[in-house]
Amino acid sequence: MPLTDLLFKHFGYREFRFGQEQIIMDVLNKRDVFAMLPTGAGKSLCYQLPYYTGISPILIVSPLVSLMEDQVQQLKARGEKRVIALNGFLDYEKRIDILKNLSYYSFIFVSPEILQNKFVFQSLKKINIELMVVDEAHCISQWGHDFRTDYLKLGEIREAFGDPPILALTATATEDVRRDILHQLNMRNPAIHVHSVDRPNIAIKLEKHSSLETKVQAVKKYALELKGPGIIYFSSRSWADKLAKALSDEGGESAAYHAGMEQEDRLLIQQQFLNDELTIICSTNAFGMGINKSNIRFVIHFHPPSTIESYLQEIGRAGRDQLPSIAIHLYTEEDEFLPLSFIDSELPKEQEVEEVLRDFSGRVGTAYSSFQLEREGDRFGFTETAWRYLLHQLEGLGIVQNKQIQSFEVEVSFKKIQSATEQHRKAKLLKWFRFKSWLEEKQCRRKGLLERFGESNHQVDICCDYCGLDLQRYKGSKSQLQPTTQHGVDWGSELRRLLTVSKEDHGEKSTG
Amino acid sequence: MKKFDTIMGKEIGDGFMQYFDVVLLYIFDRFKGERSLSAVYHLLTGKKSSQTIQDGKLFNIGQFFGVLKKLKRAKLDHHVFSLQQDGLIKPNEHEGYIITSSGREIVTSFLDSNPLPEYLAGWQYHQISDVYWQRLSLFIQSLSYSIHDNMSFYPISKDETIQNWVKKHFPGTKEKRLLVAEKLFQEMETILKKIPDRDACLFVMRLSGRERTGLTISQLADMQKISYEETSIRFQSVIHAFLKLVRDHSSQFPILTSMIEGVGGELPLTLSTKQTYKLIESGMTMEQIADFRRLKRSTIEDHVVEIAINVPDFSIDAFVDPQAQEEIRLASKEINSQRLKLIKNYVKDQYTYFEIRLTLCKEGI
Repeated sequence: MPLTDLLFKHFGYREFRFGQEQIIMDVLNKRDVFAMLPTGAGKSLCYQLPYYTGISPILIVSPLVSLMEDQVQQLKARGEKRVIALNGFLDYEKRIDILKNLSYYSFIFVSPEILQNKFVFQSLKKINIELMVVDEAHCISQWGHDFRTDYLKLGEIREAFGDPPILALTATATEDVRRDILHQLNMRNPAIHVHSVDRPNIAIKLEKHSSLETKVQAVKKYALELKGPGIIYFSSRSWADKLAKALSDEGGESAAYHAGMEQEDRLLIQQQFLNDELTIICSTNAFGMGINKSNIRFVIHFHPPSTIESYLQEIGRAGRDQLPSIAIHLYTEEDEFLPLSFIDSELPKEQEVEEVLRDFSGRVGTAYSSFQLEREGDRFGFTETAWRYLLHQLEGLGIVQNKQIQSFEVEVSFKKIQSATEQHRKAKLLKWFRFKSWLEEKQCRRKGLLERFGESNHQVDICCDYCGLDLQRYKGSKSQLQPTTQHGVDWGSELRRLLTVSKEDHGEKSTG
Repeated sequence: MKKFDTIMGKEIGDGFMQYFDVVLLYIFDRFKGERSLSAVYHLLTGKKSSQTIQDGKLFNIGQFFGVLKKLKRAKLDHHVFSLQQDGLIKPNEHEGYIITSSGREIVTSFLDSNPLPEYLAGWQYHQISDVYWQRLSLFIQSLSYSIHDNMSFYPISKDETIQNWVKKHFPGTKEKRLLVAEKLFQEMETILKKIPDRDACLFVMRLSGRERTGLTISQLADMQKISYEETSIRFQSVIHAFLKLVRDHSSQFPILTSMIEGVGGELPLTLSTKQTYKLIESGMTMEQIADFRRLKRSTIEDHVVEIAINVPDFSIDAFVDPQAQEEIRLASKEINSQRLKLIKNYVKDQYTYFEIRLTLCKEGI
């Protein structure tokens, strides 16, 4: 069956998006492939479609649990049953059961850490993996210089799995990061597809404010005036919470989304947003990874992201339907201080490091499974990234060896970890300055962004505030906001509505 | 940088008595200053330690076990500080707090007009309420979409065991689905009519189905203009009401009963305690078990207490002489305290802390 037929049959699209077909052809020819496609260009299709030509099983290495789960959910929503994610959040018995029956699955998602688990590794080795995908491959390099041990092993692992071809996917990678990826994954004579990171249908606006007060006024004004749906990014949970509340009080259908919320509530907010029951999400950067919503019309940054790559990823969630959308970045001089705390949130704090070291020093000899180790940070309230960072430090210093706690000097280790963390923090700061310098340039915004990825400028009709921008185009009328249906409800009739088919429904169907 | 609050105005709900404060006062009242603030925190967040479990039992506040799982310690500290400032509680020498007479007045008058949810039973159902809610809500979501001829939706539960359970029990034909939906509606209506309307409303609005995704706890709180904590507690009390009524009258609620199937059958013991339990049943003494498992005696003692609390027909006679049990109970009654130290003094050090602890937690089971 021709590829386009498969595309229509399984994904419902008549045509490939730019670049997809060539990438898939190279994958089908069993070549190592490096592909950089802009956010929203349909990267996951590049490894999903090959499955329907008979390539199976496919191993997908994914850096974050949240990302993995979103992709699993999307595949399942399309009716694909043979999908599984292996990570530390599976309980022991379930995991054993899955590993015993691993050959049943066609799409196997794993975190790089879990690949280090002997049982996982052995089980995967037995099943003849036909394609190894490294998703969000830029993460390999984003960790910084001393933070790659598990990724470095991916090359070896591929060999052990009988040398299946590799497909490395990313949306945003600068030249040096790209080289890094090819090198670290041991890619041989790779087919390289690098597409522009530019999203021509997203207009870019930078807006400087002299005070936090006027910035708050501006974000409220834009959120209420612009045509939704939209996402507003904040650097902290409390800001996301408070702005969401402020917007709701002024009639916007908004809600906060961040990792401090109950899992169930997060899921509800996602779905309300996907179902257009909610217009505005006030979020930390926890929201959006793998969110498949095509009609997002605006992305506002109330706080800056910490790198230019994350900026592109976040604004790239707008306009996946290719319709005109806008990205607005609001900033003040004071914003300079925010990325510091932002960066810190991805690194373990001094007292956290100390707490873990003290705890571990009292439990020398304790042995973990990879799964337990991945989750151990929960006990100390670590973020996923911060814990992963510290764990690598602990392994580097030999405090954790073969997943077992060794005896060590608390004071000495503490100092070593602190100095390594300081280095890491500096590297991250450099990345932030790269973004910050963009804000202050006197030139076309798009040109400045593309320059940082070694691309020349694109001419687009509606480009940026520097080239000239008419905001009117992106405004919606307030009446557009769906009236809320949830106030003063009578629970009896609402329950009845959910669980019974009324005559009205039948009427709707026959006329519709 | 300016503080956000000065720009946005004060957070709603500050400055007057919140539901959460009343709950805290209620717990302080029950604890009688015999437990530290950490014990309050562990109770509300549902820490599964022998101590917390014992506390719930001893002081008769098990209904609050785990009702605010995501509570931040800082938030608790903040509220306790305000309560103290307002003279409603007083710190004592055990790092605990004693309710003052004005504090007690407030609790009494508040609960008079606004009683605690009748069915709230955190400890009793902590093992099954979450699974029960997830099964029920995913079942309803699936049913709601399917009877309206739409099967493409994002499942409200990502948990695969829940998804598999619903798949396995989902009616196969449209006719059957319509029938089950109608019956389920009736069963649920019967139960929801037995609780306050506004609580029933929270429950129904948190459900997802066609044309409407369920509301989050915060959204429900905004809807009813009550605090997050009150919403959370009220919502859980509805799940508890379902579990209680469904278990007591299972023949009346066949569909709702089927959703309890296979959960909570196991004893609610931690893994390590289970192993100890097995060894006890095989006839080993505590010393032998400690030796065999290479654990401290005190750890084994904790296990025995946990078993005594959770296994109703577990006799403690082998660990505490019945005569001693009688004396300990009497002592606790006479000095009106559950504090181990006071009781130990009162019985002139005749019995160990372990014996006293074990006896007290078996009390009233």
